[in-house]
Amino acid sequence: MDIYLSINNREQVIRLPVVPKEIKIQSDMDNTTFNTITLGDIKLIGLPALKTVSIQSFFPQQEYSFTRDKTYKGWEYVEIIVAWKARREPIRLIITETPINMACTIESFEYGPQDGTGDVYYTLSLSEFKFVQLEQRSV
Amino acid sequence: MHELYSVSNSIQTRLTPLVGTITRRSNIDELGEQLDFDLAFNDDKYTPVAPVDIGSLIVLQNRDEIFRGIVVTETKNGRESIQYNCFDYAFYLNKSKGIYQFNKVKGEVAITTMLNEFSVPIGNIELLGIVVDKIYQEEISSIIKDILDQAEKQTGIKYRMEMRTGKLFIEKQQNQIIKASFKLYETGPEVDVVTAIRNPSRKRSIENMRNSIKVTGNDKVIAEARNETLIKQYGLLQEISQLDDKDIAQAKNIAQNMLKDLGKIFEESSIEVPGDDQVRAGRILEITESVTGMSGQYLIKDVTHTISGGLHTMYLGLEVI
Repeated sequence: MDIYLSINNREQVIRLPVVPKEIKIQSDMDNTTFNTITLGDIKLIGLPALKTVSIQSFFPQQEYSFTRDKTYKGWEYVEIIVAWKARREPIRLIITETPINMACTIESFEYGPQDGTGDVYYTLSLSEFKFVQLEQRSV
Repeated sequence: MHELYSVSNSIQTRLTPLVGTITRRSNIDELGEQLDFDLAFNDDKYTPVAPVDIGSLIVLQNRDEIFRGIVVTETKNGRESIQYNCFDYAFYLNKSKGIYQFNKVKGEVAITTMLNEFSVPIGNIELLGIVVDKIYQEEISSIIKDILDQAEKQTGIKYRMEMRTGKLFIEKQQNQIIKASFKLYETGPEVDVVTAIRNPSRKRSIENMRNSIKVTGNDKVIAEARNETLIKQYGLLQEISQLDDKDIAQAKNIAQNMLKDLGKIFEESSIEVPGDDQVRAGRILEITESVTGMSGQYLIKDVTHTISGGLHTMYLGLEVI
């Protein structure tokens, strides 16, 4: 299993060098509880919320045997993701051997060194991005 | 699902994917409905710009068309969503003034004359059974209201005016009893909204009660109507109505109709319930709510529908009839 992040139709692609221990997609519903006077609470079913996913891992600064991709080194990954944020564009998350393939926005990117190894530990929070198109027709 | 469309330059655009909250409001004292909505806006290159502008035609649909009107106000605040306020075509009748001299013209004919001049399509105008003999110089909607008030005073029948699918209807109020229902889920059964009332509030007062009506004409009392039961229970609350010469023949009718209207404990209630598109001000709902003691037929004085995130709820201001 590999995790790929890309921007603008694969204009730039990164493969995460170290796959996180776990990755879970949060998919909520925007339901509402309606408090009635006779029936008590009733649930009104809303619409699906945007899916979110959080990736926690590290970008190795050092050579490890288990590294899946050696194209970039630790802080270079950080630079790429920071540059993507500034572009105000959605990115794409693809996890191979799973059906997960979704356009995302970067909600937050937390990074920094840890325990003196020089590796850059990070938490990347992504949210689903829906492309909106307005249907038009002549009347 | 509700769908919102705009039409400008012969292009119809489905706005729904960009719409945040839709509120739709009507009030019994106002001709016409208001529809407000906001559209997502961003200056990135992925958020489409909706072709909505002042004067654009806006249509709200569910299964049927619910609202048709024009954008009257647009508000932009930085990168926040853009707010639009729309009114149906009664807007023109509310804002335009006219001068009319009606010499013994039938009520419905007088109204038709004005609507034709302002090119407002007519759905149905019921026979009002009165003759208008008056000079007007005011907003068209006020003139229509005055004519309907005269009809109510003389015949005791209340009329409601409203726009539906771009056409004006004037109909008897008692014909407008509705059953409002909702579905908990798409394939579920229709449930009466009255079973799911939230925040019921009920206010009763004799502040506006009048249990004795005196009608005067030519400086003397020419008709009187009293409700002795109410007078005994709550004390004498008297109203005087002065008539023009031409109305004197109607004096007794007018006194009795006024007493019917004012000789009661006034009750103002409000409830919040799941939404039903057919609910508009002026309709009548049957409500039984044991906690506050609401029971019977209630006139909807005002209603605000809120449609947001796939949920539809409404706030109803009610008056006992």
